[in-house]
Amino acid sequence: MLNEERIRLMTKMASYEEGEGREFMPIKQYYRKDYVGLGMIKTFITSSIAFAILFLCGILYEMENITQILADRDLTELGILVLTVYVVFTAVYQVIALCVYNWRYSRATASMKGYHSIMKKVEKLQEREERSLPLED
Amino acid sequence: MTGLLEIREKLRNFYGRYEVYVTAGVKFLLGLVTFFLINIQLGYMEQLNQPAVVLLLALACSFLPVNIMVVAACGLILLHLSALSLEVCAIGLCLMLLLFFLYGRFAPKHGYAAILTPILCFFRIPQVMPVSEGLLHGPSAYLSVVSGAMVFFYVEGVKINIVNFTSVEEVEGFAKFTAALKMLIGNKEMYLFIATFLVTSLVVYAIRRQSVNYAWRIGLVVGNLMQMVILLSGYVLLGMPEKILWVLLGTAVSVAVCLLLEFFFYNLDYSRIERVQFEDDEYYYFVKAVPKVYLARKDKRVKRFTPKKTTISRRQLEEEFDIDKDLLQ
Repeated sequence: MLNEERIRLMTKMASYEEGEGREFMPIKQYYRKDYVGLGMIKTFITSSIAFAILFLCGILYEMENITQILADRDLTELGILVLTVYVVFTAVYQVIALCVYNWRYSRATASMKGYHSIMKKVEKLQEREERSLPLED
Repeated sequence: MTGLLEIREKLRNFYGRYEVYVTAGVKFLLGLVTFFLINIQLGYMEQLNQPAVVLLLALACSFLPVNIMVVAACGLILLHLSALSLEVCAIGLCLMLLLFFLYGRFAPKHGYAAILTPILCFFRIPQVMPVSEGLLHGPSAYLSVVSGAMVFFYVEGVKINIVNFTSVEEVEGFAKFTAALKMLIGNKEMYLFIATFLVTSLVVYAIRRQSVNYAWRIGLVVGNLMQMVILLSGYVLLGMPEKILWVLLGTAVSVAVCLLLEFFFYNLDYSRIERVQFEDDEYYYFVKAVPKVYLARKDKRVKRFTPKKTTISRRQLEEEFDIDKDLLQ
């Protein structure tokens, strides 16, 4: 016998899984710390690549004066300067990533609350159905 | 107003019923315009500068996520630039990678904004984007708008300074690289746009989130006015008075588009506001509920209060009551 209420709830669940759930369900597979940590590692890699590109563009931009710059400044001093800029650059992006991924996780948690409550209802209905089934010989 | 609401409901119903086809159709048109404009603007690679290529790309993109269209558009731009000069292409690639790594990671869902911004920049009405994104989405959409604008300004710069990249004379090793970078970094108009868009989208977003009546209307009016003032003063300071007319026109179009968006997505009836106050164990709640303007679907039903008049022919009467023909004559 089909249980209309259970089918209605399951359809709601399926529609969530196909819509909003696609975005939020993968997030909720992680603990908050893991998700944010992973996001920050990814951001560290991408911001490092971005810095490398920017550095390369900077060199190309100053190509005409590069010999002058190298002659005027001490190489170690220049290296420390570049390293400092790199650390500040990646640190800024780490902070942004921390905020963004925390916010995303909170959004996913809020969105999944409704889904979990529906799931509990479905489980209860299923249990009730199983109990009401006649025992087979 | 009722007529407009009826049209809105019809459009909503139509979209609800044919969502898959409408979305695919919109993506196809968007792709068609995007790839067509890229070919018009650049078109340096003859093999790609064909209507068939545009059609095929647009058709493929209509069934794929919008971010694929962004990637395809970037690819097409880079291929055209490579036919012009490898140096310009390399700088373009660097720019796109930078935009992806620095901005794209935090705004992956706003592909439409990234595509629409350069299109509107081409038609000289980019003012629509920051205000509408501030109304519809959050600050993260601004990043996509900026990415689109930067790519547009780079392509525009290449077109304007094409002589620097096509000269057949043997130039110094990195001269073209430097020229391409200077063209991008020295573009003051681009900075003006980026700053204006940032301020506008943040202000619009902040206003429309307020719990005041007509928040969207206030947001769009303030946003558009502020944007217009910043752009006008910016152009005067940069010594580009010829662009002032376009700013005014763009602002007018932006207001019209934003009013349309408000009508479709935020049409509230402030005359029927309800205020509720209640409490639970932890909080007091002060709720303000504003009903949406909604037009009930017209179901035409004709109800008859008088019995339907039926005419019976003489022949039917004869047959029914079995009367002699001669009697009825």
